Amino acid sequence: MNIREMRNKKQKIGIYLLVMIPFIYFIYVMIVPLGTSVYYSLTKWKGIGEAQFVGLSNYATLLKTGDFWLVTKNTLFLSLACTIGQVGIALLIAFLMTIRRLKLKAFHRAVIFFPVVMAPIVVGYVWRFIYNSNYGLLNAFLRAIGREDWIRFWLDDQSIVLKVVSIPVIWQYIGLYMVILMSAISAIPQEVFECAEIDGATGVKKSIYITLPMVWDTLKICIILCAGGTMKIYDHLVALTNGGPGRATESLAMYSYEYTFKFGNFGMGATIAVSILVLALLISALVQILMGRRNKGE
Amino acid sequence: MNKIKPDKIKRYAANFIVNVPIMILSLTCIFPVVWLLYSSLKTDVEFNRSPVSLPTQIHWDNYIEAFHKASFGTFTFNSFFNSVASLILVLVISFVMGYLLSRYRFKGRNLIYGALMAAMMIPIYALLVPVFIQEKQLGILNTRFSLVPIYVAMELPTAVFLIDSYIKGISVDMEDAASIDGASLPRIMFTIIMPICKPILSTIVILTFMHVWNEFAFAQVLISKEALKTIPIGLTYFTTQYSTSYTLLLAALAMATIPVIVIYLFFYNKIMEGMMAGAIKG
Repeated sequence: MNIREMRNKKQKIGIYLLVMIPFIYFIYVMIVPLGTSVYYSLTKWKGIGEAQFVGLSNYATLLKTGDFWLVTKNTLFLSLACTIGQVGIALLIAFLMTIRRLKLKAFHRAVIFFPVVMAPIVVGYVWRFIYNSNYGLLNAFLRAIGREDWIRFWLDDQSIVLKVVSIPVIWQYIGLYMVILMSAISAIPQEVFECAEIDGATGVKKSIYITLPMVWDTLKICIILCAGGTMKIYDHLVALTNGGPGRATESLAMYSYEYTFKFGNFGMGATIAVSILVLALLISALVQILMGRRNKGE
Repeated sequence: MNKIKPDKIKRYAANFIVNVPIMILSLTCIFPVVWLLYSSLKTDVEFNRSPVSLPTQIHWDNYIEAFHKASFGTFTFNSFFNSVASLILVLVISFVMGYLLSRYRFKGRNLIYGALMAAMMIPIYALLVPVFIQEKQLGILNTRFSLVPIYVAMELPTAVFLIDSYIKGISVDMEDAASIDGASLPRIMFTIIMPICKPILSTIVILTFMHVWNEFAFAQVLISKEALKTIPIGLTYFTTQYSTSYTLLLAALAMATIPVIVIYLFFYNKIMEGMMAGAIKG
């Protein structure tokens, strides 16, 4: 290990100061708000004046509110759809990228990754153009291939809108997980594949029985990142639908924003924020348990 | 290899099955961006006639109009200010922290390192309301310095992690020799190690710039003053104010995206490397 000794007391103090000052700042900006939000979730507070302690009554009210369950359901649906869509498609492509027949690999990698660096808000607006019912690209395309019966009011139809808005989110982040999984696959020693080939493993079998178990841990990380990350979905939905029609595409983060800044109910806003946090932690714990167990079984 | 015909057909079919779906996906990834760029050069009339067709003639007016109408210049300046201020701070702080955490072992070192990494798991948007309350109490809401502290804290863990793992790979011999020659710790840090760390520092610069440039939620919550708004917020303003002129909005979207495209084209490998390391460490 490349470690150095501290020369004297003075240097030790200097090092402590240089590390602790930014660290305390970090704690103050990132961790302290977590604590205050737990506190405010237990109070009734309008943003000004005294916060009035009310115990768990905000949580009780929230659990009795139908809208809360609706937006929770929306958020969980998006989280599930994005996990299956993003990580699933990314895994599939990462497998395909190992095939020798595939041409232009570098091009595909660069192009599929590009949406990752775009601003989510820009992605949302661009897709709003794609979905627009009058001059949208999607409907224009359907008209061109003669499937006018498939044309929909994509962003105004309550029954499909949640699925419709999940597509741009999936689209944007396939590249990220693809690149992560590709690097995990390329870290597998080449001999493993050679042995398998000698034993007669073919393309698909090789992927399922050799590559998949060997990238299992990376896959777990991807799923946790993706499922947890989608819990806080906000930008895309603001640009695409702003939660509409009604609350059909509203997420928990938007709901928290609405309570705090539109209704001026800071206590409730904090309660929803804490709920997001708890849900995200529960999901990552759930993924750990589910995927960890299977790993041991093998 | 094989001259039998069915085999050849099979090979072509396999090539087709492997290449075509990925090609389609690639095209769907690139097309919306290309479409955005060329459509922003059309007139509204042309756009309404056919949203897909190429512009018949290049029409820069949308850009000029968008720039003037919605004080896009101000938004751009604010986005640049936030990005540059954040990245300078992130660079200095994360370098010093990363270096010290990597080179020295002291009480609490593992705790600090662990806490930084664990904080990455916090879904940052759960902090929107709490951070708003905190800034309100501090009285720094709606100022030029409302956003930078948040962005710095957001980017810090990834940056420290990248620097720490990079410095681990550098031998201490040079530093030991310099210190025998009487060089002080700051001097060793900034004149010997910092130049060696250039590749990883530039990765951090690019990542921070992109994240801050694209950030929306905090900017929306913490800033309500017109003169301090950033580009992503400016875009929402466009859709409400000029909802009838689609090409104007497209030009604004293009202006928000062009810097990202340029950086991506130049630093594609660095971005990928940094994002991967940032994502995997959790």
